[in-house]
Amino acid sequence: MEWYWILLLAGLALLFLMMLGVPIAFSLGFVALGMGLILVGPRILFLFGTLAYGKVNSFALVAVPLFIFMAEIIIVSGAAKDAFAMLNKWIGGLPAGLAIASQMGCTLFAAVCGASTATTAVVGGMCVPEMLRRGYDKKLATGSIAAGGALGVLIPPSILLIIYGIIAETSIGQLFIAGIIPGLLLVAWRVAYFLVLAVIKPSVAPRVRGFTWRERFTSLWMVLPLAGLALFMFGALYTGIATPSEVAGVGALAALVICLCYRKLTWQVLKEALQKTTRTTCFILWILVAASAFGYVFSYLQVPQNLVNWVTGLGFNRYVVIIGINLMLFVLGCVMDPAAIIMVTVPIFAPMVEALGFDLVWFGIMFVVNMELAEITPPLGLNLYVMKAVAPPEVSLNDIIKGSVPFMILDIVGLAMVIVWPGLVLWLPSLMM
Amino acid sequence: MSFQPPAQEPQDKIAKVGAATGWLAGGVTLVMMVAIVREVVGRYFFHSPSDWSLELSEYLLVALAYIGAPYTELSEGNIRIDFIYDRFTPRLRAWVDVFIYCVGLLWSGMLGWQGWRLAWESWELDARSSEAMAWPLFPSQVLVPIGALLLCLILVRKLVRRIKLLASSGKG
Repeated sequence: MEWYWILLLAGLALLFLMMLGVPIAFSLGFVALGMGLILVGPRILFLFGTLAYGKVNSFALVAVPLFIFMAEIIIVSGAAKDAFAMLNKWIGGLPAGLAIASQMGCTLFAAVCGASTATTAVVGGMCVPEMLRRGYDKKLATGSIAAGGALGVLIPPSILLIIYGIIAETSIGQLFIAGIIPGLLLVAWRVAYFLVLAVIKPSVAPRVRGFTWRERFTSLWMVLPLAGLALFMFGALYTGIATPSEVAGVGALAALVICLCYRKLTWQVLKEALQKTTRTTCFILWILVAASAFGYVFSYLQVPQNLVNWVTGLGFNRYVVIIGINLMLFVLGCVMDPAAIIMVTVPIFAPMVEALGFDLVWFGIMFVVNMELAEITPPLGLNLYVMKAVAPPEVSLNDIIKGSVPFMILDIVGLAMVIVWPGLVLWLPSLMM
Repeated sequence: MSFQPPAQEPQDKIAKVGAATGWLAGGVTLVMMVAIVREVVGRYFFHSPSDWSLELSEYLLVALAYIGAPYTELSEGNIRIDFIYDRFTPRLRAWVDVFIYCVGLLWSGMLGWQGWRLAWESWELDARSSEAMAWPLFPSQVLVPIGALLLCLILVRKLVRRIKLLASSGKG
């Protein structure tokens, strides 16, 4: 069978199963199994068993449960609430100050949490009621934090970047450091937007009373737990004294200590955090195994290799290919979980992008910036639903979606900047020790 | 990814065992954490890196991924696209569920079978890891078929429930 038929039929089968509601891991595994048995033969089966063990038996992946556990523990500790109170005292009095403080809160929380949904839930749960109470427009309040929460996957640590690093065989440490400047850039865009809005339409973001310097300085300690943990992780990664998995291990212990200091660590809290860690890790690893089996059968049948030759043979400008990939990711992002998108598409895209002369660290960050957009794009932008769940009942899903539109545009501008100026991504990792 | 207790499954013994495997499997995260902290502290403060922490963490991750699989399925944790599924009629949904569980059974059953072949081969050849401690591979590899088998049991249980439901509603 020609490679393009295999690609088309496998793609259609996968689409059918996933749209029907078959879990992504089972869909991928089933198509890999069918394709392998029909086109390769029963000898492929033993390889699936080897992948089931070999793909999971990886020290780099150890970071996944540890970072998930760390975030779960930090969430219950209440440290995020303190950090937001401090940010609010320092920034709250500025024009659109609460919105800026919430965005900073998202950034800080993203620096200790590797997932978008958790960041949205925690910051949204704290900041949205406060913003609404102060007369903020509900679309602005919810849309900005749904978008801000998406920073969780770009600012290190990031579960998505770990998965990308493993599949594309790129340094996870470098990916983590590379995500920082694009992450801060997105924040800067949003802050600029808030400031402009505060000038041209002050009613949507009313100015609240400022705090005294005494109040500000006495609140400084409140940011220490989160900022300290974030700085420790950044320093250890940047200087290379510890691998991401080691940073995750020490970070998880630090989170437990913080939770203990806040007197929130109980047996029940620990048990629930462990259960959530199991759930999230298992679904990721089961997709990873199935996606590896799928990718292996594809490679065995020379599909990605032929696709790379075909695309490079078309003679298009390489940026046309990148824009094509981004459009495809945007469409996938509307209906699929970002972690699954990475596991399904990176085995196909990475060789293509590399053959076109792009850097794989840069591609990973571009990919994740695109996924930021996916998190707030209906119908399956997860952050929209998480925001609906944590926002007060008077906020409708429609408000949140409408409120997210300006931030989708800002994200697209950020994505374009990352594509046009790869230095934004690659400069910081080039300085790593 | 917020936690939702199993919505439609009864809280019987199997559900209790499932919940227990959830936090037990998650508990290996704590052991990993201790092993890694020991490694980092040993290396930087006492110049005595451990040979075992890396290998132990990898083994534990396999345990987490496979022993936690039944719990993940029981608590509907395997992510899927459900915005079309949610629009189906309850009856069609039950039929689709039957199909989903069959697909899941085929994949996890195959992983269990082939995982067992791999583990058994390692047992017979006394295969060992290529890392510093050269631990035997069998105890870690056998977790793949155990986890896959437990997942199959959960899927069979769900499948039987759906078929019964369909059969009884067909009579009514």
